[in-house]
Amino acid sequence: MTMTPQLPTWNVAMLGPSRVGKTSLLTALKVAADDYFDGSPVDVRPEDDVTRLAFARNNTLMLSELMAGRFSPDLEGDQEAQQYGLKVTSGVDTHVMSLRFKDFPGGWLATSEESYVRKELMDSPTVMMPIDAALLMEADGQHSAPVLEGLGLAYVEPLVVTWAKERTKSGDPMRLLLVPVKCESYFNDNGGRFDKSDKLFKRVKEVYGRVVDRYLENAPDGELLYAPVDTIGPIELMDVSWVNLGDGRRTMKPEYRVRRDGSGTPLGRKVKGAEPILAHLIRDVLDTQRAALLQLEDEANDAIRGREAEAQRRRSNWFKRILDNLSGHHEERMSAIAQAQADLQSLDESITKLARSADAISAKDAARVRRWS
Amino acid sequence: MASDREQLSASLNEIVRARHARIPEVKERLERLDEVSSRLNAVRLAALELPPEWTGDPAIQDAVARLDDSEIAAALRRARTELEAVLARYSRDSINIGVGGRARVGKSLLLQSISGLTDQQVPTGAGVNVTAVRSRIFHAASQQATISFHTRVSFLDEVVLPYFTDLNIPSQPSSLDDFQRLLPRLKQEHEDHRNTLDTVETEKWSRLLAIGAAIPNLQLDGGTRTLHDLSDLRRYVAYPTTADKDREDGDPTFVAPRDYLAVRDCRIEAPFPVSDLDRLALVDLPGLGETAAGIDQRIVNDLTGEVDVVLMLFRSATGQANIDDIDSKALDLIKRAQGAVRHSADFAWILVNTAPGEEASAKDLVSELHRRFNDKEPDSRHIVLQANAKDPASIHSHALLPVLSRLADRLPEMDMDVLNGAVAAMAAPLSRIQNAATQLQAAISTTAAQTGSARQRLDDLADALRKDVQSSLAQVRPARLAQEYLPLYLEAIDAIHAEVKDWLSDGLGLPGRDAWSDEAVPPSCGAWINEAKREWGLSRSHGPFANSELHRLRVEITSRYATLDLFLNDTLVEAFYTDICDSIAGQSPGSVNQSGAERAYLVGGPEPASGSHRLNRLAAVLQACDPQLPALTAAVDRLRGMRFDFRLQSYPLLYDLNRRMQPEDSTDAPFPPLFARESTEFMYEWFLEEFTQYSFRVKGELLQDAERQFRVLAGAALVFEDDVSRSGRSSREFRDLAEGYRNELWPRRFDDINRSSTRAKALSNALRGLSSAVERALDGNG
Repeated sequence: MTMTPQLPTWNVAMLGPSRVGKTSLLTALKVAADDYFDGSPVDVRPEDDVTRLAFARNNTLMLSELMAGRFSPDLEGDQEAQQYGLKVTSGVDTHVMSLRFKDFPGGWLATSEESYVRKELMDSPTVMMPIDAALLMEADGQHSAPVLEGLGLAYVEPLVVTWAKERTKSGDPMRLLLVPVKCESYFNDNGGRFDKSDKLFKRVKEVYGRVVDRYLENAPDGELLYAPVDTIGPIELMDVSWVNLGDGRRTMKPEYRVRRDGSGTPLGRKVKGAEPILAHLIRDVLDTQRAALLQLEDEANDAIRGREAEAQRRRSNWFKRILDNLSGHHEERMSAIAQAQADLQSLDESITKLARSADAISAKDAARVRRWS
Repeated sequence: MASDREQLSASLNEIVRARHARIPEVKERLERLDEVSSRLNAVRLAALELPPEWTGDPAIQDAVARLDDSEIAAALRRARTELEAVLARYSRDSINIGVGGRARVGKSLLLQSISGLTDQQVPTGAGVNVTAVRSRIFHAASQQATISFHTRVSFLDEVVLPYFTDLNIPSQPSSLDDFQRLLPRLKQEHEDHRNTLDTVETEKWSRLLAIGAAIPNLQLDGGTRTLHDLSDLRRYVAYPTTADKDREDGDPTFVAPRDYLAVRDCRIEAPFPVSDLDRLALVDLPGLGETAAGIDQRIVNDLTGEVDVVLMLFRSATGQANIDDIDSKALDLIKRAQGAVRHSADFAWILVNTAPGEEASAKDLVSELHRRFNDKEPDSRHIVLQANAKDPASIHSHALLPVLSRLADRLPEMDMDVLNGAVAAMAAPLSRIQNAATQLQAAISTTAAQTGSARQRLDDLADALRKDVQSSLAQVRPARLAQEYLPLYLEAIDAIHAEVKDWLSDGLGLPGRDAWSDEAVPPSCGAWINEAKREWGLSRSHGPFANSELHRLRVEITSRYATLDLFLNDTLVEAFYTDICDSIAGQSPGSVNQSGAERAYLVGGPEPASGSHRLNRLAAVLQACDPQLPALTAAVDRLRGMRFDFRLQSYPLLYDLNRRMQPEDSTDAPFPPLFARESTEFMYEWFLEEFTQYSFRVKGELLQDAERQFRVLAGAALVFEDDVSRSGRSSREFRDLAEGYRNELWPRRFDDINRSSTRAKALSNALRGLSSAVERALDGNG
């Protein structure tokens, strides 16, 4: 029995500097999924306690900040590689899609074994690059050094190139996700009054153009998605100052205001733009799985045909049939055949259901998604 | 008769007045002529200073020779003499009648008849020439004579030397002492050649030696003597009497008094019997045909300007035999003195002195005079009168009145003739001077232009200078300015943002606690909140107040950012100007100096002058350049006029932002929000945040646009570089600039050429002065 009709784990490598807001982004994916799939059989939930705890802590922090009418993004950065898991199900517990987000913060990457990072990356069909939109947009020509440092471009580019080469060599699928976060001040589709989305896209292309170009050079069939996300919602950048770190470096210190209603009550968290990311992740998983499923089906059919041939051989005469019935082997074989057929059908149904959900969700906030070229 | 004389007197008075009125004009003409002479001398001196390489030029040589022509100098002197004669004529208070005639024709009798003087004052002699000195006799209330004496110099020049000239005596004395030392030798020479001399020469030798002998007794001090008793006058105006001469001949120790020799001029005043002709004056001319040396010229000189009319006396008793070459010569002299007066009949009259009983012979004489001097046409050239010189009544009726009547009619025209003649005499030499000056000026210009090596050298330096400046200007890349000033500009923007935030935090610009303020409200925003509440009381809505605040705060913040003009214009543009000036001066890094020019002269030193001061200096230098530099001047002026204007620049930059900051009356998302009544404090917070954010956005737009200011400067630098070094006129104007400031840009490099050029320029300037003077002198000549 080689057949295991389960959805495998899907690894997503997150390449971004500390404090860029990766936890907030993943929380935003979960919040968006909760909002979108509310009332449907599809369910997205933390896969483990670490993830659950991190999401809860992040959500609590955001809500408390909003309620206090202020927002300070200066949260403590992650110091070690961590993994967060999201389980996506279509209502059948045995058919769970597992998305594993592996965080590779800049500081950690700089001190890690290259071979380990490379191995981890090669196992990830998706690389997600969270981008600090505020840093990108608010830094002028005088602050190009802090921008490059803040975005961690120096270490990101060679990793992406290696990843693209290796995955292409082995014929594995891949997708690069460019995800600007903290975009609340640059869109007017989530309560904001100013639309600077074009400028944001332009700035991302200016700064990340080289990374993307090299990715596409080395992975001609590689997929690419640009999807800016409001991870909080009712906040707006109100001012920015640049702080000297004391070692000659400078860092940006943004100051946000929280939108409120006419009576002064702060508005609640309202994630925007996360759905297309989720949809593309699911679709990528499903597309891969559907291909695998076809292979599984072939294998299952081969197995059924083999068993039936064996059955025919064992029951080729009366004596053999008696022996086969008495031994119980016949029942066992028939049950296995029926189970395999049922499993395949069930998995196919789950995939179909999830695929429909992914198609539906990908239409939401599609306006924020841009074709790169 | 009396009324005729009164009318005549009035006419003569009017003539004198009209003459006086024209004196300034004549004086001005004299001054202009003198200026020409002076300028001409200046040109001659400047021409002498020309260096050999210039004077060797044939064209210059020829033009200088034409200007240095002695004929021109002589013509100018003659013109001046004529003008002086006109001035003398116009300056007189009297109408002067010159009285001349050979000895023994009754000239002194005539003078006595008119003046009322006696034989003692106006001597007569039987058959001898008695008038030795030209006297002028004026009508006055009482008798008086003023004798003016020669100086030793004028005596030598005017009395002695003419004899040396006439007698061709080679060694002329340089002083009277010298003359006296020569006397023994002269006597010996006279003795040696006595037999070869003709009558006239003998007479002249005799007079010269007599003058020499008389000198020790003469008053030659240039002084004057006034005689109230005219009985002493005779010795000063008459030749020695026959008796004295006879005694002198017989007694070698006796020297007859010859005081007349020392007399230069004699003015006699006496009450004329015809008192109402008070403008009348008589000029007693020494006898024509005398043998005194230089007498002819003296007569002409005396007549010119000194007399208005000449009365030439003939005596009928002497008969026609006396009309000879001497008379013709006398009339020729008078003709010369007539000058520009067109009709001789106006100027020279003939009076036949006819004593009773001489009528028949007088008639023959008149006929003969007409035949000899009037081409047989009576009065055609000279009007011939007849009167008895001894009879005052006859003289008045038949000589004086006809002459004066005609003068009263003709003098105005004669006066104009004289002036026009003098002016016309100036025209020819002035024109010759003008032509020669023009020729010399052209020759100088040609030679200057042909000093090829110098011109070529200067042009080469000018071309190198242009390339140097272009190359240096190309180094003005505002990237350097951006490197230095962009951080300052960003700091300036940051500073304004910080100010705005402070201002907003301090009660949104309405600081201070109001008297009605709520104790719970922070002091800084008390006034604003109370104001908002008051407004609510009026309109039952926060809307109007919020809308008005939206405008007020936006305008205030924009105004504060507009102060960036100060930074842009006072700091950035100044720095840009400094860079431009440093480049022009060759003081910027990477500047080249192939031309070796002292380019700092153009813009001055870097310290302590600001960029705009140095650029202003450059503009002044260019404007003052001769030849003019219109293209370079315009380029610098354009650069000087460069100004940043924040408001103008910010319109497109902040358009979208400001449009979004207008009140929006939307049901979905009104802006500002619809604040509840109890939300005044929140409204304050909202405005504080909204306009902090607004200022941040303005700052963001400005920061994003900051480099554009430097691109503006880059553009200005490029345009200036093009204007200065690549425009169509650039090459030519740099050559003109090099010419105009040759010595400043290349000190001492052109010393040799400068010396020549300075002298040529001095000559050129002198020629310009001469031409102007000639034009002024010719002005009005027609």
